[in-house]
Amino acid sequence: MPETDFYIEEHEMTLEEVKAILEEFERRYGMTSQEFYEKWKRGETEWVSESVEWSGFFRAYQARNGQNGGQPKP
Amino acid sequence: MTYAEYKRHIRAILTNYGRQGILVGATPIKFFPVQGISPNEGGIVSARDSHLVFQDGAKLKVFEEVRVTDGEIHRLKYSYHYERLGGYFFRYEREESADLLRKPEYHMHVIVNLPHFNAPPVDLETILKLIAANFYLPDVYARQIVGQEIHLTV
Repeated sequence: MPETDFYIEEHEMTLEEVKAILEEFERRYGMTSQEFYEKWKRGETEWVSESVEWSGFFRAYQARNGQNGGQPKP
Repeated sequence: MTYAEYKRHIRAILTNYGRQGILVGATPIKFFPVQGISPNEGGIVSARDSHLVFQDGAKLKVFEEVRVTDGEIHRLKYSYHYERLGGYFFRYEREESADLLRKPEYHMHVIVNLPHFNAPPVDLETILKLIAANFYLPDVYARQIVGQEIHLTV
């Protein structure tokens, strides 16, 4: 076996980390997650290469945020 | 298989490729619960910050939304995006769709985001085998792929 510097960093994500991911998508693609999600449902975001992740994280964030008593945003 | 066992399975697959020197460096695997799925029965599995990094600098970005039902692993959504330093990429996805001709539920992209080519269901293990066989095994087949230049206009 070759010598490698490989190692696994594993952890449970917090709501804040998911929010940071959504904000990164928003900066990269120039729209809010809510705008993206509405366009995604209409099939208007085929140019977004991360649409599976963005829609998945957004729905998970909304659900958890609402569940925790916060406002379902961003 | 339970969700905990699935997590261990993912770890074991990645460790195998790390030991071979195909995957290198820090490999970030993150988990996040999904409403409607007990944390013991599934959630989001993601490797997207620094991605999985290969020996030649190529990267694999992973997203799965997983639910375990009656011991079966169901990947409700997924995205496996492999990209080489020169910009060549392919991406296998499962995503809901209202237009199954233009966008089959199980599809793949190659080099550009459109079209969505129909593709069989895949998982991380299959993707890593495919990548290793095509880009990292020192045989004649892989040597015919790596280093190719592509100039095209759609």
